[in-house]
Amino acid sequence: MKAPFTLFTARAYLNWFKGRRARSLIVKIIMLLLLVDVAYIFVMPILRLLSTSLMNVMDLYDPTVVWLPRRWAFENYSQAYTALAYGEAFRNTVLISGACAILQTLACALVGYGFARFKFPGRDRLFYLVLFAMIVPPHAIIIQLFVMVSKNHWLETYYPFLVPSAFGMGLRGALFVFIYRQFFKGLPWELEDAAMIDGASPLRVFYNIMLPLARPAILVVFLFSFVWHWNDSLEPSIYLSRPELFFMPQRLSVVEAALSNMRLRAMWGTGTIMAATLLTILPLVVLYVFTQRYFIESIERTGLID
Amino acid sequence: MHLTLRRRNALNGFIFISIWLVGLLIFFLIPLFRNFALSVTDAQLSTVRDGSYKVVGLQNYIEAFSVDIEFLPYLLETMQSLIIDVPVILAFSLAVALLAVQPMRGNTVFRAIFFLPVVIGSAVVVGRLFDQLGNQLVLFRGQAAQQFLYIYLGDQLPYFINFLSRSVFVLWRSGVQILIFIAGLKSIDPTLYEVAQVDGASGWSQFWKITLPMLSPVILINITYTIIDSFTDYFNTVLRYIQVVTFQQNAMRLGYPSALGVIYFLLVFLLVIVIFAFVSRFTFYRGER
Repeated sequence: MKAPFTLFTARAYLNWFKGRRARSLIVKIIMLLLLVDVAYIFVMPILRLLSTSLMNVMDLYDPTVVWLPRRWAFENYSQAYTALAYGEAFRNTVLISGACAILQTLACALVGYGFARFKFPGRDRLFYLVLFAMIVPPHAIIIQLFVMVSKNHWLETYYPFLVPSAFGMGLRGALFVFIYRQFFKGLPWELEDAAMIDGASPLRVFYNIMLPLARPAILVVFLFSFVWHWNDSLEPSIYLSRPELFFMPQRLSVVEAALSNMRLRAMWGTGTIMAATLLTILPLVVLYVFTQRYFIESIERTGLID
Repeated sequence: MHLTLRRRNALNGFIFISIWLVGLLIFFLIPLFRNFALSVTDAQLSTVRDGSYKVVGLQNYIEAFSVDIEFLPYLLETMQSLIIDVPVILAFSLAVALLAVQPMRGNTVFRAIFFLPVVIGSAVVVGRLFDQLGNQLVLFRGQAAQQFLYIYLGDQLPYFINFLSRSVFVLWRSGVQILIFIAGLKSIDPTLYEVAQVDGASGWSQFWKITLPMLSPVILINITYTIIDSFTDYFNTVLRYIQVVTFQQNAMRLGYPSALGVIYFLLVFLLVIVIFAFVSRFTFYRGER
């Protein structure tokens, strides 16, 4: 019997074993165990984070306390909330990440559509530039961007995040152009032809026909952009230095730096940092829980793969 | 004005991409070019404003390789971890994707979990997770387990624990790859498998003769993505070093870190091109032949 690696093609496998339900059940259980194993690797750090965030100093140094703290140290959260200046940081992060994500979603859609559906001289060479922009590490240009931003007196403002986004650049803008282009390429041409014959202008075709169809791509780009802006720490750390402007990850770094003072740490404990970390990612987790179904479906349907 | 359809089409295309062209020029090409230009000067933040710096030729580049005792080790470390990480991430994500596409209940839950690191995988946050928790992150944290392992591994135990923590870290970076593989697997025509089955092919040979060739373009995408991802990673020591040299050393030298950036960028670029050229010889596109 040639069986063990049929994991890879379960369809074949299940047909092969039709009528031998016991064996296919065993295979299924093994697969399930493997999946649970892998899922554990992914979830464990988060659970560990949650558990540590509820421990006070005593519990942290007590080797008999593994997952559940003896006494639930909810005060970690109130301390973290204050230390992060959560309300303010939350507002900054949501507003700017949201604005950048919306701008990028729109601008990159236009550009991706242009690359996918029009033939113009030099198009393919320009598209190589998109790919090129994708692989250049941001550090190769960050010094120049900094000089430019400081010459424009844009330091300590949010313009360095918003303006590039509006031009379809910004954080991984090239990748979004690429995603849109792949998506629009896969749509049937008849849609545009029909609208053009009816006399619609290209912008109108784009706005009234293509954009509504591009909902999966829009969702993917928006969510990626939002999440990546939220999580970005390179650019904010260079453009912003006034704490009241900080985004959440930067605040977290500040709290962290303050707690690297040992005496403070002994007082507050690692639990506070963990609580702060959890508070930082909490909005993203909530967002993900509500959107993950569409998110994953969309990625599978965007034709990212071509 | 009267234009032929083709001309009008071309013009419209340019209009659509025009905003991006402007953005590319201002926020990418000009900075990149200036970075090259600055890398052969002794510019500092104070002198860059009034332009009173002078060209020193390749001195910055020579300094990077001969005087600077930190840069080269960081560079080698990055390359080393890349060589180890990329195959591990690819193999792991392919295996997980293969498991996750099996028709089974609860599949969507697993997929949602595998993608979680991408969503919350913020550099600072992941840094907290892995720095702070240290070896608690090892899958078995308890004292007993460690004692037990000590019997077998002796002094090697810390290395082993280090290896495990690192592999968790590596696996955490494979969320996007898993998803891309899942999408790729789903796009393979199921009739291919049916035909192979009728001919009596085993699952093993089906994997090598159907799944892998059909997946090869996706593998190429994933390799490229993984390389770029780890080269631009927050934890990348070279990038951190460049940042430190630029923004935290008191003089705010700009010429030297620019040169470091150029070296690094050329290395990435070269590597991606070599790998692309090499791997694309083995990729199979359905449209062809």
